[in-house]
Amino acid sequence: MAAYVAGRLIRAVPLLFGLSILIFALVHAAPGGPLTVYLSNPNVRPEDIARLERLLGLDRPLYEQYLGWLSAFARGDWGFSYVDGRPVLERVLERAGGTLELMGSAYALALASALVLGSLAALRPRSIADSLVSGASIVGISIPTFWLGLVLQLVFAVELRLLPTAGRMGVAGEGRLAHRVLPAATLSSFYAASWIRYIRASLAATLARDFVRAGRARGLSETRLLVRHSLPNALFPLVTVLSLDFALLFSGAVVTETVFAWPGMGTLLVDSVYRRDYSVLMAILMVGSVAVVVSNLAADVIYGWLDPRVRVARSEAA
Amino acid sequence: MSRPALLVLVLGFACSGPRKPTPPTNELLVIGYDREPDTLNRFSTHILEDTMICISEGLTVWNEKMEAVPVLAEVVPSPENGLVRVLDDGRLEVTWKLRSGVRWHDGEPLTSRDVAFTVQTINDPSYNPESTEGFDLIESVATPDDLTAVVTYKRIYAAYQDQFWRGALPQHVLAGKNLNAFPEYDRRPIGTGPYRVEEWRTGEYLLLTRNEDYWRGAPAIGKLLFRFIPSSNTRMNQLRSGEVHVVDNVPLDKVDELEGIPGVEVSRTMGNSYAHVALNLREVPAFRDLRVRQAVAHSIDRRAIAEDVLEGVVKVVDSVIQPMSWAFNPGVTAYGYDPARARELLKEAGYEDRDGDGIVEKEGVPLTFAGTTRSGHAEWEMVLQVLQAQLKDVGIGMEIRNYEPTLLGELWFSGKLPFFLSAWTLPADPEITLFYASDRTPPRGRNIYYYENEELTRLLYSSDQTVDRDKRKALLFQAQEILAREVPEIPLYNRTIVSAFPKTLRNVKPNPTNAGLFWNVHEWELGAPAVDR
Repeated sequence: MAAYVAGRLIRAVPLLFGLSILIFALVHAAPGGPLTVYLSNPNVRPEDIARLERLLGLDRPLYEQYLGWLSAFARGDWGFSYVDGRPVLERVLERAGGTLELMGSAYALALASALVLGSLAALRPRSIADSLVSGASIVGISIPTFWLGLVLQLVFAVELRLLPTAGRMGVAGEGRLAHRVLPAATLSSFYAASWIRYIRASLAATLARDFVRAGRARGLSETRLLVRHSLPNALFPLVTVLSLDFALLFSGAVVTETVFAWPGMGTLLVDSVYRRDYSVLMAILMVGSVAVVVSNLAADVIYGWLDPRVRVARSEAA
Repeated sequence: MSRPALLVLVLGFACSGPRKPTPPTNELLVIGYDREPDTLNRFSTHILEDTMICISEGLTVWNEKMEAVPVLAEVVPSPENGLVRVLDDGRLEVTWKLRSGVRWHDGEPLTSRDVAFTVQTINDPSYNPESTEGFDLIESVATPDDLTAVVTYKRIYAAYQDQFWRGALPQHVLAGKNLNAFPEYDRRPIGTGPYRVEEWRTGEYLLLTRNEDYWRGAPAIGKLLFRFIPSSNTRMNQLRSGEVHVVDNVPLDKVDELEGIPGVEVSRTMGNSYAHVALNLREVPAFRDLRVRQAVAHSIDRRAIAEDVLEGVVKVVDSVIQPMSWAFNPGVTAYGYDPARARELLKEAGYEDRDGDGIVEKEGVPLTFAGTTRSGHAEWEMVLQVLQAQLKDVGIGMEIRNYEPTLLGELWFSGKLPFFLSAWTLPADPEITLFYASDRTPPRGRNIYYYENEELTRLLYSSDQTVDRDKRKALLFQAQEILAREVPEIPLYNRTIVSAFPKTLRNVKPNPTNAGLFWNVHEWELGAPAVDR
C-alpha cells in the first residue's frame, strides 16, 4: 500500500510540473498585468511603466520568468505580492483557514443532509417524500449560488434577524458559528442536491439486492439492515464522487465567499485576478492543483481500504 | 455529540431570538466598505482615500464646496497672501507654513523636514508612488525653520495648492526604508489624523481607534470599523439589517432600495465626476466629420437616461468641468435630443440608408462601431444599452462589447476603444490638458479621442501656466466651449454621490471630490436618536 501511494505521488510530480507551465501561460496570457493599475493614474508616463517593469523583472522573456518562479517555488519561496508587497505565502496562509473552515462545514452539512434525505427517498420510492426530495434536489442543482446566498441573507438576516448577513465573526471574535450558517448552507446546497440523487439511486439498487432480502429473512431489524448493511454498500460507489467533489467545492467557495464577504482564498483569488497579481495567482492555482491531485489519490486509497478486491487487483497488476 | 448537548444547542439557537444589531453610537460606527485597501500609505495606494484620510492628513483638503482649505498648513498659499511668487526667471516659489503643535501618532512633532523628505521620496526613482504629479516639477525644498517649507518649481505649476493633499511622510519613521514594500508602515501608518489603526484583519475589516491626543481635540466617535464587503447586494442587506451603519458611494442602480430603511439618512451630492461617451476619431474615421459627432450627440436623449433609467438620481451636464468647480462654464453649446436633426446631419455628411437595413452608410460602408463600458457595472451597462437603442433609431449601428476592468484599462489607455462610456473623478484643480491637448494622445496622455485642435491645446497649456485665477478661468471657459461645440466627447450626466448614514449622525458633509465622505470625520458625532420622519 505504501509503495502504491509513493508510486502515485511520484507520478504526480510531472503532472504538477506540466500544470504549472499551463497555469503560468494562462495567467500571463490574460491581457493587462500587475502594472495596468498604475495606468489609471493619468500622469504615469510610459517610461515610469518601463522602469517598474524592469524593477519587478516583468520585462524579461516569459520563459525566464517562469524558470525563475519555478526554481524559487520549488525551494519554498513563493515570492511577493505585486499588490501589497507582502510575502505570498503569508497572504495565502492567512486566508487558507477561512476557506477550509467554510469548505469543511459545507461538506459536512452537504453529506449529512444528502445521507438523510437520499435514504428517505430511497426507502419510500415514489412516495410523496421521494417526490419532494427529488424535486428539491433538482431545484438545489439549478439555483445559482450567489442568488441563493442573497435570498438566504434577505430571509434570515434582514427579515427574521436570526443570523448575521456576512463576515466570519464579530469584532471581538464572537459569533463564529452563527456567521458560518448561511455561507455553509449556500455552498453546500449544490453538492447536497447532487449527492442526494446518487445516494437515492445507489441505495435503491442496494435495497433490491439478494443479501438485503436474505438479511431480512434472517430477522434483522430494518434499521440495522439500513445502517449496517445497505448504506455502506450503497455509499461505496460514492467514495469517488465525494472525494473529487471536495476539491471542486473550492470553485463554489469563490462565489460564496464573495457574496458573504468571507475572508478566504476565494475572495483573494478574485482580487488577484482583477489586479493580475501573478505571484498570488500562481500560488493559489498551484495549491488548488495539488488539492485535486491529492483528493484523487485519496479517493483511490480510501477505495482500496474499503474494498480489499481493489487492493488485490492492484497487486496482481503490479 | 451527546443528546443533552444537542438539545442545549438547538434550544440555544431557538431562544436567542432575533439578533439585535449594535446601533450606531459614539463608541462604534460600522462602515460597509466596498473594497479592501492595498496599503494605507496614501502615496502608494491605488484605492480611494476614505480609510486613509482618517489616519493621515493633508496639508490641505477640499471641503464640501470643493475649496482647498488648510489642515496641517496654517493657510493655503496664494499670490494674495504673499506665499506664492513667480520668480523673474519664470520659476514658481510656494511657501508652506505648517501649523505648530501638530504631532505624529508616535508623539514626534510634524516639521518642514517631513515635507522636504516627502518630495525627495516621491522623486526617488526607486519608489513607485501612485502619482508624481507636480512633484516632478519641484526643483528644491528649503526648510528655513521647523514650520516653513519653501517649494520651488522649475516652472509655473497652476495646481500648486493641491500639491500636498496627501500630506507628508514621517521622516523619522521612513528614512532609509524601501517604501514599495514596508508592511510595518503600509499596514499601520503613523499619521497626524484623528484615528489610528487598531487592527487590520485581512479580508475582513479595518478597525480604527480614536487618537486621544489629536491636535484638534479627540474626536467624538471612539472606533470606526470598516468592514470589507465587495458585493453591493450584501452591503445593502447589511445596511437594512442594521449590521452596518454607513455605506458611501451607493451604486446608482441601488438607490431606490435605500428608501424607507428606518433611521437611515440618504444624502445625494453632486460629484466632481461625470459620465460621458468618448468618440475615437482614429478608430472610427466617420467621427472625424463634425456633423457625424453632432448627429451622435443629437440622437442621445440624456434627459430620458437621467430621469427614467437612473430615476432622477443624476443631473444632465453639458461641460467637461463640473458645476461645483470655480472654472465651470454654465453657458456652453449643448446639442439637445433631436433625432430628426441627427438624421439631417448624417444625410449632409453623406450617410443614408440606401439598402434599407436600418443602418446608414456612405460609399457602401455602414456607420457601425463597437461600444464599450466596464462589464459588471450595472449602471453603465444599462445606459450603454439605452444608447444603443437611441443610436439605432437614427440609423447608427453600435455593437456592445464590454470588458472587465483590467482588460478595459489596457484598451482604454492605449486608445483602442471606438465608442467608450465611462466616468472619472476629476482632480479638484481643473487641469484637463492631459485629456484634450493634441499632443497628449496615448501613451503621453489621455486624449483617447485623437482629437486635435490647436487653439484648444494652446488654451489648455496657457491655463496650466497661469497663477491668476481669473485669467485661468477665462482660458478654461473658452476651452470648455470648444469642447462642447466640437463634441469629441459627449457629457451625459453628473455622477451623484449617494451616501447612507444614521439620521443621528451629526456634521456629516458629503464631499464631491475623492477626499470622500470621511474628510471631516473628526467633527462627526452621534446625537440622541431622532424620531423617524
